[in-house]
Amino acid sequence: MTSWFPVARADDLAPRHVFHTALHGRELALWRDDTGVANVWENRCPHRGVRLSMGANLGNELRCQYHGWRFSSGSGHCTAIPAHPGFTPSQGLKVTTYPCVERHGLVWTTLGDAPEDIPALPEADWQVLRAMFVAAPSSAVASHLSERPDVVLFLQPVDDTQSIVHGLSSDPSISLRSHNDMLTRLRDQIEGTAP
Amino acid sequence: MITLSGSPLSREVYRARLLLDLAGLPYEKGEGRDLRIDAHGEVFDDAWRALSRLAPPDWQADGRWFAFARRLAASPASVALFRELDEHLWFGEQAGEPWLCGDRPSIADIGCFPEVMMSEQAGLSRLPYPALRRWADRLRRLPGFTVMPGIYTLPGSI
Repeated sequence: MTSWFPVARADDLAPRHVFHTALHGRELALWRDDTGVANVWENRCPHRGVRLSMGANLGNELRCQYHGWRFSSGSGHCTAIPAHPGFTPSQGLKVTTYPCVERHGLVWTTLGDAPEDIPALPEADWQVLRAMFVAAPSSAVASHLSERPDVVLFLQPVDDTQSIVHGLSSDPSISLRSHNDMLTRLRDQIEGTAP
Repeated sequence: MITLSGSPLSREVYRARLLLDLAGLPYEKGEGRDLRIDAHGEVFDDAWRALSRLAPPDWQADGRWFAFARRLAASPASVALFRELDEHLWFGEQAGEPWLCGDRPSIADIGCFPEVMMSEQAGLSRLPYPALRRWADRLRRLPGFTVMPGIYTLPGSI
């Protein structure tokens, strides 16, 4: 639980987009600011608890949809409260933020304070696969994953019933489409819907 | 002249209104709760027929994805359909074709949009469908985009 997990592909964080995911039942709002810095935040406005993933990425701040409170990239500090235009929010008023490291084309975070333990990979031209969402707990998914020299898979435990499989491939002759077909078969097998 | 009537809460009315707003077709608002479109004397009470008939050439869709939109509207909480849509849009993004029928939005995108945005009310979270969420952001940033209750606009273009 305190270890580091991938929670998105780096290019999932499109310009001015707020990406919605979860890790161990904790909902996360991920967004990239206009300078390219990625943020991993709790998906919860400290004002009324509304999901920040419903809000707007303004480029260097994220704005909550509910009352328009704005929060700064990096620190998560509240920068503006529209109902109180002259008021400077206190430093304590902030979104809960999590560590964020981009590596191997994926965005990684941890909910604890563990030292960064993102796996090292051999030198190769890794391509990032389409992440596969599986409606099964990560323990059930893990038992189906098999070792392959050209493919590395990482598991994101979304919550007790859902997981996401992230993957990297070092073999450029296999298309993203065929990797996706492989992961789709794996998903169907795990979910018990395979014919 | 085109006149559009119907409840602001109706997805069918919203579908028709989105086409008129996004394609920049001028229209007036009429009275009445039921969907009714009077386009230069031709009357529609079916949003899908109106989409096909009124869409300018650059808003037409290929048959597969227009038919898909109709299936989605008939099964608005189908995990299988949401998965198919997300996969198609993800590979489209990779190929530089961010819309359902390629590099421009069409009536297939408009047809799918209300069900996608209302999926949480139907009990279906959009968390597992990242490409679908990015597509919805793109659509909400198109010039002329208008909202219905429960669907917000997004600020500015990118």
